[in-house]
Amino acid sequence: MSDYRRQHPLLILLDIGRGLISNVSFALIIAISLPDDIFGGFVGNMIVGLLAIFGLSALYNVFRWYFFLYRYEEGLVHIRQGVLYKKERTIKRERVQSMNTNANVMQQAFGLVTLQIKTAGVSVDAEVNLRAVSKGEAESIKEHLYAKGARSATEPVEVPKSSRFLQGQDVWLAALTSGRFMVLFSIVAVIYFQVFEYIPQSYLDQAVESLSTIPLVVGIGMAVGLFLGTWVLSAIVFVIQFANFSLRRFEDRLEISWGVLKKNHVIVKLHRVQAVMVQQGPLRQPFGLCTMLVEVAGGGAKEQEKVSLLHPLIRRKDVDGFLEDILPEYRLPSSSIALPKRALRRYLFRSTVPVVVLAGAVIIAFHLLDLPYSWSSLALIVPAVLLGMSRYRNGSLSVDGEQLSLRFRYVSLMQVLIKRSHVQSLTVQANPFQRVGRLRTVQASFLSSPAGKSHSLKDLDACDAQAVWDWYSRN
Amino acid sequence: MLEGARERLRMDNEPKESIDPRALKVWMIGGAIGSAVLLGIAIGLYAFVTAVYGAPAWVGWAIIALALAYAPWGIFLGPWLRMRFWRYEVRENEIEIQHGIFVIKRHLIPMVRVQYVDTEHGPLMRYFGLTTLSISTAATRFAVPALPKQRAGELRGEIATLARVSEEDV
Repeated sequence: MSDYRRQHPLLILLDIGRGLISNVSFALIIAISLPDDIFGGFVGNMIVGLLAIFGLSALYNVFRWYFFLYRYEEGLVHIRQGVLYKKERTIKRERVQSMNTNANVMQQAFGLVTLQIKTAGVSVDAEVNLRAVSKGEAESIKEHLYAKGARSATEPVEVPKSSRFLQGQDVWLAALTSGRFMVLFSIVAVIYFQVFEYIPQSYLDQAVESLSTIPLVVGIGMAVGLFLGTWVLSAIVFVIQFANFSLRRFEDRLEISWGVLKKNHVIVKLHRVQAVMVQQGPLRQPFGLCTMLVEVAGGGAKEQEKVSLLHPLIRRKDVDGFLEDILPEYRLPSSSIALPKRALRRYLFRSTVPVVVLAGAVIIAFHLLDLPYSWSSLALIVPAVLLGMSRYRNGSLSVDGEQLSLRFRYVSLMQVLIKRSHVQSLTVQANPFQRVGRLRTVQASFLSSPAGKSHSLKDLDACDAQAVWDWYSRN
Repeated sequence: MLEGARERLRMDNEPKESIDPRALKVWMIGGAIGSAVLLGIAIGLYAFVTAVYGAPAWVGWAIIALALAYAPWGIFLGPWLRMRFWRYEVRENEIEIQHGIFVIKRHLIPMVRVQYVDTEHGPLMRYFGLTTLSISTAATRFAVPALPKQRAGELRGEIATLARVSEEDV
């Protein structure tokens, strides 16, 4: 395989298509700024503008496609690209950290994928993107960079040690409990309020008039309807994003793929996995459901490279079995150290003080603006207290052989499992109040994408913190 | 009860080594410069607020008072506490660093996790012949400031030798 190849010529069309919106707006700007009589009025200008822009774009993309060459052989990939400034890069097998493929709708229609080969490092130079190659070609390249020793067609295809899929109704269950609709809802709300300003006053007056004839119940019904509508919409988006989810464990790596419109396939070498997390969001915990996440080192800063979702939906009681199948290196701890009683005060303090301050500000502001119902903001204190209590009760830590496990809640309940060899450093800290109360905050730092990260547990007893310190110490 | 509280305000088993006492001078000078700048800004604000906005004089004096209140903290209390609590210890297998003024942090870094060691210094530190030793793991960076230049160089060499990052580690 040592001859040079080009990517699929369809890439030219795809690239032109990608710039469609900006190209059209450019043409529009040109059309507007040219004097009217040169090409026969606005329409004429527009046509000429479009032709010019698209012509230039096509020319540019043809050149880019033509001057992008790649070749591959056993153990390496070589890229040569550039029209004026030529760039050559060779990536050897040892340097490859991950290889991902994804395909959007257009690519899928033609059987093409984008193959992304990443080495260590965050810079643009650290990765190679083959943006339009056939699926078979991508597989072939991956195989050459993969295992040592050629694989012939007669050898059996590597069988995964175990696998997990997200089936039918589970996809919907995950979609409906994902909690993403809150984000969507807030976006919708923000847009609504932005748009509000631009609606002409007459419309508003008309609307208010007609609205005031509608009983309050219907008004509330409409709001609820909007809420439910956003929920269903976000669930559908989720399903489209995560249908066909599959997770496979091979000897030395995990292969995760998902997606319908945009198919993603991600390979994670096991040695890059730094920690495993069990996340129970507020919509999932009541049903005994959770999400499995991994912290992976060596990814890039771009969104698509952060491999963090291990499995979107697992039943809490199945987590043990899941870990045994997929990541037997990790296991749920059998016992753990809880927070001392005197920590409850501090957790309540932390959760209620911001709310009290906020409520105070709201009351003062409403008073100054002469708005009613300012006292209702005090109602927020109740959930704040409950949240503080929940955080206190859920906080725990355990050291079990080589594994450290931290359990904590901000909003979702999280349990982090991390091996001692992946903890880059341990920090025990205390402010004066904690010191007087013999409490410590324990923080474990580890490598993640794109940079280091840490998880911590607050207000642990000083002796327990010392136990963790001794466990981590090499003396 | 007060005695017990005092003892608990320290965190027991502090690392052994402290940093060079000249650091105190550096921080105090830095604090003085900071206070001067803050005072300058406060005086400027006073002029602005009273002249342009015509606010009563007490607002301006309040701003200046606030700026002056920073001085004892920035020049004396802060540097003294920082000096008191900055400790480090380099052992064969790990490094321990403690620091902080209000929140005291203690870090434990195994030698095998040390990726690289730097020494660096700003102009003020350099004038006193002091250097900051900076130890990096894959995830975070830790600093021991204000070591005598020679000692910093020694430690850097020592840690570089002791730090063996093995093949399997990320």
